[in-house]
Amino acid sequence: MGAAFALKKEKDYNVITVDGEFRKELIPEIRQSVEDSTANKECKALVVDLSASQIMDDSTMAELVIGAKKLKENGAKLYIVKANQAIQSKIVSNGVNQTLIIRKDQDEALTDAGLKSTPKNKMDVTIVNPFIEGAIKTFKIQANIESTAGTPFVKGTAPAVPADIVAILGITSLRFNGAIALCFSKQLFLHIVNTMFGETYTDINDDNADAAGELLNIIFGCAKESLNKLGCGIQPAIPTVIRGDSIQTKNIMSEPTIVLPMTTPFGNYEIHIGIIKTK
Amino acid sequence: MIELNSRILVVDDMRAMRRVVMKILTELGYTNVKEADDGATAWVAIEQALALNTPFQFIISDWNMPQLKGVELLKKVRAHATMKATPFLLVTAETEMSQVSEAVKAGVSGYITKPFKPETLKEKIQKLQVPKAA
Repeated sequence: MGAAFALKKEKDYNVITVDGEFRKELIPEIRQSVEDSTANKECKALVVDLSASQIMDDSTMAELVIGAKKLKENGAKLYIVKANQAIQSKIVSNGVNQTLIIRKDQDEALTDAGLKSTPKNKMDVTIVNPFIEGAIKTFKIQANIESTAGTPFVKGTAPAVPADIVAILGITSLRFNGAIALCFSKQLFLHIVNTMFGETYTDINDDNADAAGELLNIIFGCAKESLNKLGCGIQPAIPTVIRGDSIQTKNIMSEPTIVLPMTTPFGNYEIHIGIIKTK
Repeated sequence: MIELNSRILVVDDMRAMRRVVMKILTELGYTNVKEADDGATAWVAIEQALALNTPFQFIISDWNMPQLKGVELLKKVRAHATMKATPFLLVTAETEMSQVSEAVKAGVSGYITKPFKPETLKEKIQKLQVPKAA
């Protein structure tokens, strides 16, 4: 028995839902949906909701790519939302994730298409969470320290940790540009470098300071991998380290900076993220 | 397994990571270890070692460096008649499949992603196949 296929038409976008597997039997319906979407000059997005599909076969994926190219000629985009990890990986490994744009859900797809605005100061967890996960993993594996994430806040609305050393890195991607900073107190930083190097440093100096940059580099690498699976296209970058007594970090971009407070048994640290969406 | 008296080059633009890697090598008993802070300076060191007829016998390199990236250094090493079979381990925060594929195509001997535990690097080094020509 074939999967139930439905096309919901809105003023400036359409949504395909499939109750079952996304197989080649659906190609005629997909083709018709693309034609209906391109016929409506106001339609800027065709959203394919795969929440009920475990599989997308090769023929169906190829048909979607053809459809996405037709939509693009009309200034519209094709989004894949709520796809499971296997389908997302298939799209990425076939190199078509710039054509079939993967987004978490319909809201995110419509925001990306410029059909829905993100309220200012609203945190984009899709972007922020990979950095939290990357930090927890990096500190655990590289420095044997358990980190716990606190409640994120917008910079200036809560007290920040006084930083004695800060690593900062610029982010360039297809979806957003920005910067990320990793801010440590001297106490925690020295504990980390002494653990990593097997030393007994009592001060931050030229010999140990760039460990802050390396930790940020690793966190960035972890987050980049996750975000690029969603089609962010984040480029590699190299961090810079600043040190001094109680460094004050201002908003690192023109948009409000999000502060992720992290606690460890040896002191606290913060990750500051400033993002400007470009799409 | 890499012999304990092998000439080893550790390449990373971050001093911190060079120290982490060198600490692990020391713990494993390697004593003849040199370091370079970029792929470009590493290549100079490699050419100097070749000129002295004491080529490096094992290279551990970061990927993302400002002047010459680790994978480009790997390609230069593989293109050199004397160094083409030298074990080359990439230690990197770059984990995406396209980059792993690029490294494999360029002839990398092993690949380790950051963050890593000391035991993971030790295991990788101990499992490296050393060609007789190296």
